[in-house]
Amino acid sequence: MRNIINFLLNYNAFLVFIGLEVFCFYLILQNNNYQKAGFINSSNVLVGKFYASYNDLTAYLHLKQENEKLAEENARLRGQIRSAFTDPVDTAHIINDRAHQQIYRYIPARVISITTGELNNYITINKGAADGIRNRMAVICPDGVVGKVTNVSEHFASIMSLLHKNSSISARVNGNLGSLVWKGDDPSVCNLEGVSKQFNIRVGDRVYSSGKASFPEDISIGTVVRVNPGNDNNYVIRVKLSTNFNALQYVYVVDYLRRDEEQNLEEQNGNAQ
Amino acid sequence: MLSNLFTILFRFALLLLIQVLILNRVEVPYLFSPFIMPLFIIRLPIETPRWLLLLLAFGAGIVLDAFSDSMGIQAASLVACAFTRQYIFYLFRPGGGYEPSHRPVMSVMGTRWFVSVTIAMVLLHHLLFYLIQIFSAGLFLHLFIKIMGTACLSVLLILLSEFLFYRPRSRAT
Repeated sequence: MRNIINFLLNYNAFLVFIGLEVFCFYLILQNNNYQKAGFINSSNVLVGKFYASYNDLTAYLHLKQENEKLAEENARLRGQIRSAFTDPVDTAHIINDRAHQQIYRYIPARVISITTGELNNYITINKGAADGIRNRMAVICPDGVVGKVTNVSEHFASIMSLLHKNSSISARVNGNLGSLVWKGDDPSVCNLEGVSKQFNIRVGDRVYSSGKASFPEDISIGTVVRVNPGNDNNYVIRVKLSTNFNALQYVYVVDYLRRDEEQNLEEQNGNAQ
Repeated sequence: MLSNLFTILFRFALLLLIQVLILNRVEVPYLFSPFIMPLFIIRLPIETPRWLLLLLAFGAGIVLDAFSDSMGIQAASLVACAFTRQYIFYLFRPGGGYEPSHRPVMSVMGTRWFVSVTIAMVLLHHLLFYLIQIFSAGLFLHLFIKIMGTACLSVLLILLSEFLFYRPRSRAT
């Protein structure tokens, strides 16, 4: 009996091959979809735990640089809080500020795994749905933009890095909008497309996030290093990224508190049409 | 058979660790990170039934996919490698064909055989892996050159890794 099964299986290796390949492509297509959270990714519990414990072992190697970075950021933020400014009228006055409502909440997370040398790069972090992280949230770091959340499990999340074939971020240079894409060539340089040639863009101009689509406004993206005339009416602008993906240790996941409201409104617009 | 299976699993675990903890994290200037998992397919015993070969390749690919967020692309290309292995081995068969004592390792089959098989396997794996990744975005020439360069690097690494498992000819693995 066993021989017969072996014989059939050997004889039909081609069928096994086709079956497995079909299943693989099913997984690939299913995981390509933003909405469906697949199981085969680094945010699943087993892989997440593994990366987290490995990261615990190696994290101390970068402690010094990380401390310096955090201290720097602290200093910068201290310069922005209200107590850093003198109030000429009355310093003891309690300001009940209703004009400014918080619309972004930042969730700090530690990077437990990151790739930068691939064509499609991902980052795994040690926070997940339990900490309020949801799909498609923006991810930034003190230096600049990092990517978008693509998969979330209870305690881990995978992030599609800016260095990903499918990543596209709305960016602004000198007030002109364009979309930032990665071509897979250099992990420190992205292309900014869609900026019309009628505007004047120079090498050295700063590129910031536009504030559209889940990223807060004015997050640094990088600096223009080359301006190429494209084939159509738009430039192809080479942007040197300000985020150093190789040294990434901590990131902030951005929770846009009005996202549901905005989405509902857009859906209603869609229904009305 | 059981010790054989244990060896295979151990080798897989070791290659997986090298891949996800070291190779995936290095950034090679102008190229992508190299892959050494094709070595796992090459090193499976010659007499492995084809269906088992395919299933092992699939399992290895899925685990690797989970660790590197490649969604099933590694599994797809490794299964294709496993399916093609028989033809590649046939192409580079020794003068008298394969004998029961033959194992697909450098110390038994010789350097020339091993290098040829590795090159064929790695080229197949890398081409499939990157083609599946970019088939939606169109093929760029500079990516093709990068893929070829990465394939060369992986061949080199696999040949180096083979020495991890190197045993003198007289002793069995």
